[in-house]
Amino acid sequence: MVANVVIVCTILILLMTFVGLMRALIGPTAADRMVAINMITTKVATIIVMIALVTAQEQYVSVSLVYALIGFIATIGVSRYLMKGKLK
Amino acid sequence: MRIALDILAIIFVVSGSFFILVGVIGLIRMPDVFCRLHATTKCDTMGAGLIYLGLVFWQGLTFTSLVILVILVFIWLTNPTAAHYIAKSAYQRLKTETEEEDGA
Amino acid sequence: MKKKYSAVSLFGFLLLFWLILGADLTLVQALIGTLASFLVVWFNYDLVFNHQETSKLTFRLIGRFFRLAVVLVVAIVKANFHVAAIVLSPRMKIQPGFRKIRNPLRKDLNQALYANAITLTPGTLTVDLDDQEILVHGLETNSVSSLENSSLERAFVLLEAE
Repeated sequence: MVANVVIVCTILILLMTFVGLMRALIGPTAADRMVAINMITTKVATIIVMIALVTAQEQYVSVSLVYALIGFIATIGVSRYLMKGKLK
Repeated sequence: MRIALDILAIIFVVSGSFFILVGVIGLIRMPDVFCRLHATTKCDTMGAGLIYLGLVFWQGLTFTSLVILVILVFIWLTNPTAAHYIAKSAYQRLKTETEEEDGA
Repeated sequence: MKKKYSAVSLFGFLLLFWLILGADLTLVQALIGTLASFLVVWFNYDLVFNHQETSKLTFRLIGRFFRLAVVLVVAIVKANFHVAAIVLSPRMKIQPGFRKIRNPLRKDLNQALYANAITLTPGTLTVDLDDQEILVHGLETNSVSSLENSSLERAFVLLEAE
């Protein structure tokens, strides 16, 4: 019963991710695109956990942690580049 | 007990999806960068947290759910930090642009 | 002296993290984890928090931290309904703007946590901070000032009190 609800919610979040991608496409400034990409990272991390649990492949839950970590570093790196024009 | 936990899990997952939906609508509708950050940061952090908690209720107390709790804490710490950094870079861009307009 | 104390806390934290991610509790697993955590703390000893950057980890601090967590969770839930009400209303009534508030905290880690907490409370978003002031962006500019003397600020100030 719970599995069905989780599957429906996964599909819903997947669709919302694509709507968020629209903001990354049209966003007038670079910061707008960063906001959208940051949000997409969180959503994808959530989707990975949900799919791993629904299909009973629990070893893939750790993948989500690494994905969230890489997304955070990417956001910090690009924002720093936008702010200073270099990464140092 | 099992049924109660399942119902709790369903409530948490569905309300988490609702808050993520609110975040996406905010991302599309809000007028500028800072307002968009308001919508996405709060709603995404809360939505992801609710969904993870629901999944933990569904799974029971195993090693997998401990890892999910670690991811939950990690996202709750990093999401506001990333938002702060994006806001800082956008604010500096805004400041230099206004200064250039004043100078011209 | 104080730094050794927080190095030991960091070691325990890293070991716990290793054991959770390792997903099975065997002796070999625990030994490798102990060695790895020790090496990480040893090589990064200059990055370990000293007593000027963080409060000392005592049982009283943990108790205050839990009280702070309750205040924070209530604020986060309120913030979400606030944003949902604004976003879903057909005409968004917002007057966005910047406002400076005072920074009541002295230690670096507490300041970082306070900035994150401000981002998650209703209608406010931290943009920049230094030792005296925090620059906050608000959806309703006038509501930003109510952060000063709020229950959240008092819970944070209590973290640094002796």
